[in-house]
Amino acid sequence: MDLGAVLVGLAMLVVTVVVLADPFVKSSDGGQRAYQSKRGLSARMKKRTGLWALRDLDFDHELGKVSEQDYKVTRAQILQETAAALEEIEKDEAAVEANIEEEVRNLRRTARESGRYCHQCGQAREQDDRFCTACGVEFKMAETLSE
Amino acid sequence: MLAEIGWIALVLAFIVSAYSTIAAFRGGDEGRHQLVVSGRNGALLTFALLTVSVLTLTYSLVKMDFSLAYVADVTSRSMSPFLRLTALWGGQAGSILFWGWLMSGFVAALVIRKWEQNRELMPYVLAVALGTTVFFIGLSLFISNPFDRLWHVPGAEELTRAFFRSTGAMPYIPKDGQGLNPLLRHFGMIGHPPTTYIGFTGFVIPYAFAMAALITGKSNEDAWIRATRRWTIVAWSFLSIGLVLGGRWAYDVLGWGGFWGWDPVENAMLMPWLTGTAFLHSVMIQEKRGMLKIWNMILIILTYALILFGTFITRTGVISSVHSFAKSALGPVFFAFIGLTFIWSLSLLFRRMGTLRAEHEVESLLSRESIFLLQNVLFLSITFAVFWGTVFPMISELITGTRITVGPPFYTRVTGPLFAALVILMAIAPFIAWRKQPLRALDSKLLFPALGSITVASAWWISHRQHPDSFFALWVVSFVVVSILYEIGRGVRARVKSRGEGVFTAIGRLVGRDRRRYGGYLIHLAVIMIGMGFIGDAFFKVETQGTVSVGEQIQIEGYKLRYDGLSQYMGEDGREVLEASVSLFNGDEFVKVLSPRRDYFVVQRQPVTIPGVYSSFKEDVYVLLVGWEEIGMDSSTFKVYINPLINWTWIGGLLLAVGAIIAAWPGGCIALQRSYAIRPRSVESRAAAGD
Repeated sequence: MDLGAVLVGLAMLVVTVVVLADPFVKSSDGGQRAYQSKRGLSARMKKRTGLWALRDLDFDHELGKVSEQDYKVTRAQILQETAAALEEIEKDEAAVEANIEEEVRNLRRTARESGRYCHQCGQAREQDDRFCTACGVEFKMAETLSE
Repeated sequence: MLAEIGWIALVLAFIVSAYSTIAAFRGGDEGRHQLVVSGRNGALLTFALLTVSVLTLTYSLVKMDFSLAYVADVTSRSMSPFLRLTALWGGQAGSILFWGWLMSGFVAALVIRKWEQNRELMPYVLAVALGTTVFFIGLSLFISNPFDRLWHVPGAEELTRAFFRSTGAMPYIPKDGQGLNPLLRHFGMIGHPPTTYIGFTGFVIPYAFAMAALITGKSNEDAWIRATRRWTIVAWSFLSIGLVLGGRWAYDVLGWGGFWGWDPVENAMLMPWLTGTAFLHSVMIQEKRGMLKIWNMILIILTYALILFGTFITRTGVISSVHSFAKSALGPVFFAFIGLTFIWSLSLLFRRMGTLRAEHEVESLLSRESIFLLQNVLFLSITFAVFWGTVFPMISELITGTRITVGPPFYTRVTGPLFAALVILMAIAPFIAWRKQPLRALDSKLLFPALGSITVASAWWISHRQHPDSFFALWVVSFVVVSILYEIGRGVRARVKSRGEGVFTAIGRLVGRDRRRYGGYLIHLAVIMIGMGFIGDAFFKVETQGTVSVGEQIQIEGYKLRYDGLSQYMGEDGREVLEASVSLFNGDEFVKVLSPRRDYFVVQRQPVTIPGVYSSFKEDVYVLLVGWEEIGMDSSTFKVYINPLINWTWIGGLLLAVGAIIAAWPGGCIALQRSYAIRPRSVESRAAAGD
């Protein structure tokens, strides 16, 4: 085989190995949960389905394709289903918000306990600082960092 | 050196795609993000590597590197660079590589566009789509390698094809190649195979999503349907355009006066189109009503299997036909792959059958849902009839040893009424409401389209009384046209009336707010235009044959064709051309000079009959040179066809593409989100309480 082809082939092989190995080299667990079941995903689908159904029903009604009685019954039914889906989405979003708040609280607590941040405003501080550079509060001796 | 680079890229693409299939599947199964991302990177790499392979092969073809067996097979020095380029998909090895490359392109596009959505399904989508790609790359690498060279092995009677040199073998480089099959030396080759292949490979994406939904147990949700809606429309449109372009190629090259001959390979393209069309319609019911879930799974599995079957027929030569140029050892491997994927898909479906319960029942026999269900049954019935007619010669040969071919009369007799029923449904469906359609309300809506279409068809019949049987066909198609126009008109009127919009604004907004529906109507009109070509061919086609001396005339309908003489010359790509000069008169008025030809390809020893055609919106005058006197050349035989409405078919193909673009254009849901504001019950109750 031609030497030039072998060299180009080796270059392609190196690129291939680097690209395939890249996700393992970059240690990240960001996506671990991404493949788990997502709450609320189905509800969002139901919401879209409901909106579509409403749009079609309204237009069909406008064109006189649906009787007045059927229209009222069907519209109420779709509205009920879609509203239920929205409620589910709302609950899901509230749960997400609660999780975020919990995470923030945990981080604040950790920061406070570590003594690396100002107890009053949260500004980062150096080991030998006596006053906060942001709010000016005096650090007591007990708060002096020790390695 | 380039060919070696192409081969190495092919080997790497095989390894990478096989790895990525396993990595994506296991990553998804075990929830290992890094493994899935590595599989995704592999999908992009596969496309890049196959692009290198395809480019090196294309370069070898254009530069006529006859050291490659494939290049020597499908190109020759006399071929134009354009034809050498199309030779990439003109032979077996090249077309399989091309198939794999397109498939990997679809997977790469999917990964780039959809990675952040449907993340639960994505690892399995990747695994299934890449699994199909691995199969095609494997075929390229191990069975039909486009980078194989020709070797002269001492003692062997024939030249050997292999990539590596065996002991004692001497390389053989022919001075010139065989050249592309003469029938494929046509401008249409730039369009027909690529569009068909894009259609074929494109349908693998919805199949992969369906299988992913079954694997993850998410088949009951319709996320996979929504994710693949646009992919399906694109794939279906390309397959449709591929069918029309294939018809045009047959019309221009095969020289039998028509464009659809129920050839096995035409059928092989038609079958996935039929099931794909059924799927495209049927998914709407799942989206809107949560019904027909099992049907949709069956339809996409069948479409995928029939796509593989179509490629199997085209590329293995299992059924003799004008398309089956390539005969090779691919057959058993292909057959096993089709069988295994079909059984695997069905077993997955059966495993999840319990979860695929419909969310609603069919409430009335007269509802949009039941119409769609009936339509599915009709599409599948036509598919079965076409399938039976296609495989029957094979079965008869296996059982009796004699190949009994099923001709066009079988297909037209069996599928004709079913197609007519489908077209009637096409006309009625827009007027039928979801859930339940009161019969009384339907009468008044259908009255105008019914009366309008009867008037149109009657007017036609009065002027064409010699074809009484065409009345029904024309009534059916005009029923659809009037229905669609009436439906659009009603929509426009409603907007004008309720919103005070101008007519053109109303049309624009009507289409803009529901592109899928109105793009779909345009596609229906396009299908009807294509159907007009079939009606013209079935009921109004006229043909005659005559032997005339120079200066004599042939008369057909209102036309006169005067034979002016015959000339003989050498064509540019190794063909001996015999070209007749025929003056066409409409009555006594001169129209144009037609030049029907008979090209004889010397190397391939193959004649090709090229028609002389005069085209108008109304009809084509299609003239074939079928005989001549070898000495003197003062008398020749011509076959003349009048092909009414045939150009409607080609225009219909263009309209179909426009309709597909409208239907698949992104962003149709923005207006929808603005149109409604629904609040959850908790918010409503708070509002009511005065919060």
